Amino acid sequence: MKGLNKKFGLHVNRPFFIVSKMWMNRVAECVGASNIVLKTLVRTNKGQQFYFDGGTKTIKSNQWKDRSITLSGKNLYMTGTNARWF
Amino acid sequence: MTTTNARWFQLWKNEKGNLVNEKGKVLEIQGHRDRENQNIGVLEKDNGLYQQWEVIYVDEMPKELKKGDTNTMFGLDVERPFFVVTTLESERYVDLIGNNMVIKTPNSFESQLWYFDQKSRTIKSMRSKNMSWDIAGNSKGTNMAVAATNSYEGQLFKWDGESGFVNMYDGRALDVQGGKDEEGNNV
Repeated sequence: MKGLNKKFGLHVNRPFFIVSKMWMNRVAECVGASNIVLKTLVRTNKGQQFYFDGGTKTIKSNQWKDRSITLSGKNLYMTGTNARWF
Repeated sequence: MTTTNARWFQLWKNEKGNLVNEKGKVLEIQGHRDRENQNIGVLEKDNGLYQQWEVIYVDEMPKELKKGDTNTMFGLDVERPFFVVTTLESERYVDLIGNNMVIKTPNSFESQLWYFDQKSRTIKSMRSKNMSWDIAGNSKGTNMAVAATNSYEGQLFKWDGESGFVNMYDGRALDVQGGKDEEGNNV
């Protein structure tokens, strides 16, 4: 499935940057397949690119495609996608 | 047949400038500091700028501004030298004595010329291009100087036609100290 997922407000499988609206317009970067920090944009750095996975409905790293943005307490990490079988 | 269903702590919606989960918590820059390597975390939504994000698809990412382009957020043209002229009667220029910012009679030295640097988003001196306007005292003081460029809070100023040069973080405006229109008076 492609195109915009209206519920999540994100296009499926289309890489994007998460750009801060603070004045430096830095972007989120997945560092070492784990932490997510603010960094200066480097367009070719796939660690700064994410995509919405239409299957799991998670936001995945375009560099580490088996990892999704995950909340743990007040912190964000990239962890393996928690898929369940039904 | 199988299907995958992620758990709630991995589900995020792009909603009105926030990335929000089903419990209403949003992505935010921890410590609210716009700095390199600052951690990104999650808290209750309070609409601070540190919680606001734009999803920009890679194929639609705008090009970086180049020399001569206008940075509308900062109200300044990129790398286009300018003077800063006080509206006091003497119309003196902002100048440098050492690294301290003062007002002085126009003298055609590069110490009276400034430019906006897009990469650092700071106002740099044509005399010392590795230095930027800086609020002394770790951004808390009242004196202006130039210091090594770091793009921290005390170095980010925009040109606002009504208020002049205004710090992006605390809204304080560039000011001739005491309003005294005297040679060498501090800014």
